[in-house]
Amino acid sequence: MTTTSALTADQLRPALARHVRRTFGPDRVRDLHDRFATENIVVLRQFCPPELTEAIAAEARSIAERNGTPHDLVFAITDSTPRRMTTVGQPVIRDEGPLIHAFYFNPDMLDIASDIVGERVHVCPYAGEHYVISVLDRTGDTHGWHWDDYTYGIILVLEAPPYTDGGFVQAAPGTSWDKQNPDVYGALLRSQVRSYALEPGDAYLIKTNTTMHRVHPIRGDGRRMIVNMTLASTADLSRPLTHETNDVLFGGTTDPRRAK
Amino acid sequence: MNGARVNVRESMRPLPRMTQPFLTWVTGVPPADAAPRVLWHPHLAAVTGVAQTAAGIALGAVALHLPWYALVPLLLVAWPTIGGGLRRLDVVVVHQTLHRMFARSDRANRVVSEIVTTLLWRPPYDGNRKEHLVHHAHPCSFRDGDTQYLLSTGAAPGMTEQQFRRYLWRAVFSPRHHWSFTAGRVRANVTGEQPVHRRVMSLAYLALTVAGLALTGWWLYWLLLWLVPATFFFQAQTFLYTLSEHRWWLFDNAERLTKSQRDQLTFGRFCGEPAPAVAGRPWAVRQLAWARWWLRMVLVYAPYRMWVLVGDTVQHDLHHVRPKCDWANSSWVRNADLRSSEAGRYYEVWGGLLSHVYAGNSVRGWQARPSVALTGTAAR
Repeated sequence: MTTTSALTADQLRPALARHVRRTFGPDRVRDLHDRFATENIVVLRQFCPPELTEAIAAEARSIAERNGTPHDLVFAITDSTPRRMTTVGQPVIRDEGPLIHAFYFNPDMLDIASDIVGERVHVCPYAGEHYVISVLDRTGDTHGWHWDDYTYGIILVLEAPPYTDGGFVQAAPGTSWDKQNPDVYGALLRSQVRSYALEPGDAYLIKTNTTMHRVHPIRGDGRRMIVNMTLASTADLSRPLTHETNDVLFGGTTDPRRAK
Repeated sequence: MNGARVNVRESMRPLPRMTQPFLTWVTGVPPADAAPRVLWHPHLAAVTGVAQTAAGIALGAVALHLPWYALVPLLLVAWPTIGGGLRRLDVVVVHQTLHRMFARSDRANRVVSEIVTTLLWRPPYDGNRKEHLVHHAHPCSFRDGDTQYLLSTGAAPGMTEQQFRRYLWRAVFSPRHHWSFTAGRVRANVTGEQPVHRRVMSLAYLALTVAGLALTGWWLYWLLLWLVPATFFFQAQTFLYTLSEHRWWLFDNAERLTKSQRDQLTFGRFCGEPAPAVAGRPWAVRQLAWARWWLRMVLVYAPYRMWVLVGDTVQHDLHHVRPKCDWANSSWVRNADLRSSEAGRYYEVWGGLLSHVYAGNSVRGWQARPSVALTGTAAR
């Protein structure tokens, strides 16, 4: 394992727990819960304290520099929306990213996500979707409109450009993904698109299976780096789900280092 | 680290014959060449569960009339005894109904399960069975509800013993853990997702409880001798049990495993330590060593068997190798398997609660050992 920061995985849990206890009181959680019920996406401002964000960002940056895979493609399964981004999949992060691993398996994170979405959330049954790194750093880079297979996702923002350079997230709640006949424009017409600007240390929680979402293309010198973590509902645990887009973009559970 | 090379159960063989049934019960292992004198029937497991619960309640009821210096220690024994009795009904009786191995007919298994789980505020039969079959199909995977439960408490592989003990204390007393557990039990019974008959049963049980308490005024007894043990103690005992049910993190929670890998996930959780080898030592040294050993067997391992590792759960590896076996006599069946070509499928850890939870959670330096195959035939 490679640790790029003085902060260790063992120290992460108490640090995050202290921060969450201090900054996510019952009133704030209730407010986030209500907003999530309406918009199906909610930004958790400064979910990570700065020292933790910096440590995780350093770890993610180092992993992405060594193992990042650039993509420039469209996915027919999401109505030919674009993916221009650099990614790192779960097997590499599991080996080289102890902080990201510890963040994902942190029960305090799972607890607060459960409180906000209003049901118990779980670690994703498919390991390939536990956590992935995504970097957008060239003009036009984007993670185009899409849905995800599992019910929830929590995205930790490690680097983000000012909104004037794009890179903000957009969401169309209450939409559904018909993999045989995906209809992004129809979803845009039927739903109300909301946009959310983000800063490093923020996280956003999203009902990913029924909220079409994308990252607005970045421009100029903007750079955006996030860790996307999938969370499962209780129903997801016994539902057979496929992972086509994850397997292509992030490699699923295949370790690309073994292929080299 | 976990269990010396010495054959622990065989080291107890020189002890008086009258002590052997007790030692077989505590350890979970009969002597290698012994045969059962009495075969247990599944229904006795239910009787034992009810009897233990009743005994705990009776002890607590007596204690409530005594001065505080007698009340406190007696209550501290009564509570886990009641919790252990309820655990017998849950993890032995209900568990076997889910495999349709408690009663002969499917209907009888369902009826017993619904009655017991209503009284214990545990999940209804169908959902519980579905989840349990997933556990058997993909044990220790991220699809397994028990894996998810342990993850939610902060369980993780590779801790040191000290780190793991800190985690244990935190989780056992965590209000969040208990609140989540209790809320799940209530939701499973009354939220509307369960079958109508079950909701009616749960609400009727609630109404009868309230009416009974209003008529008798036994609120304090109910609170102290039912609610406390049925929530905090039952849940803590369930948690401690679940932690060692499998070697949860052995294969990175992979969903697809070979038969051999699946066998390695579960181990015999045997209780006890080698009898002291003090032959030839001075009389006083021998007496002290034996006194210490017996005290530990009676005050450490026997309570563990009464309160946490109840019934046939000692041989949980047998249950995963052969779920359709004569589970009420698991210790004998497992020994018979160790004489067969299946012997290589079994693993074991000797010790107590800590040894078992360490091995179950890949605490640094801890692992299970393959059980040694038995030769010869059991005595008749």
